Amino acid sequence: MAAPAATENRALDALLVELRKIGTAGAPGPWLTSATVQEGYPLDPLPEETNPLVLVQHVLTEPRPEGEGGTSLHDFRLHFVVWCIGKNMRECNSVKADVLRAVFAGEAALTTALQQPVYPATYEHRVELNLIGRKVAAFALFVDTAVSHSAP
Amino acid sequence: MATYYGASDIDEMLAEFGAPVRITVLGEEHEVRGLLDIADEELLRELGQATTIVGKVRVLTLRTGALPGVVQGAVLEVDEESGTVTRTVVATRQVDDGALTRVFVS
Repeated sequence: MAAPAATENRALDALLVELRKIGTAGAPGPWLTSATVQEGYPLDPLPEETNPLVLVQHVLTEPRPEGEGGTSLHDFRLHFVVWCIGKNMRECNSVKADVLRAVFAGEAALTTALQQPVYPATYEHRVELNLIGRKVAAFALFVDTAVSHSAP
Repeated sequence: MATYYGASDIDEMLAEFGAPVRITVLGEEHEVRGLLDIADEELLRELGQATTIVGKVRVLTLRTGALPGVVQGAVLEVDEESGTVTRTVVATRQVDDGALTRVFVS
């Protein structure tokens, strides 16, 4: 039997399943955008297409203070960043709304997979893509999870 | 004796190396020559989040004031290798004592 995937990868997979519903037909639409959802970030230049782009990545795992003393379980907070890329700030906001819609609609599935819901955190516009005529915003998400000895 | 390039050389330089750039303002087409530079640059580098986002930066260098109406959102026609391409002005920055303007386009 194969070992269970790393906790961060299991969480990322569960999150991607929900986010890849953005722009697709059926529940939980309708959507504001048809953003392309991609894991990580491309090493190549951003595609020239004008469709919004969502880049999803795990960025940090930190122990939760109340979980430090456990012997069989350890409580950690997994941090993710969802980069929302659009043609202007309003489109980034629409992408962020779709991300939230997907996360909220997938709450039951995410909670089953991760033991707790995925929580939205800071959403912040950035300037770095201005000179290529694009906008980007960083949307932080996190989930608290207990890491077991058998499936770390 | 060393020779330095100056403002008087700009037109000759653009004529030699530049490509036609056109804009239509109030129904009238204006054309000048400009230098188009295209570079893939790391625009966003967030080490704390282990993120790098690369973008294709396009910059047209024009003689300042040579082309009217070059402001954010203006539409330019640029003769590129692939043919005439419609580009939108994203931002402008004067350089070289203001003699030249770098026009970022998308």
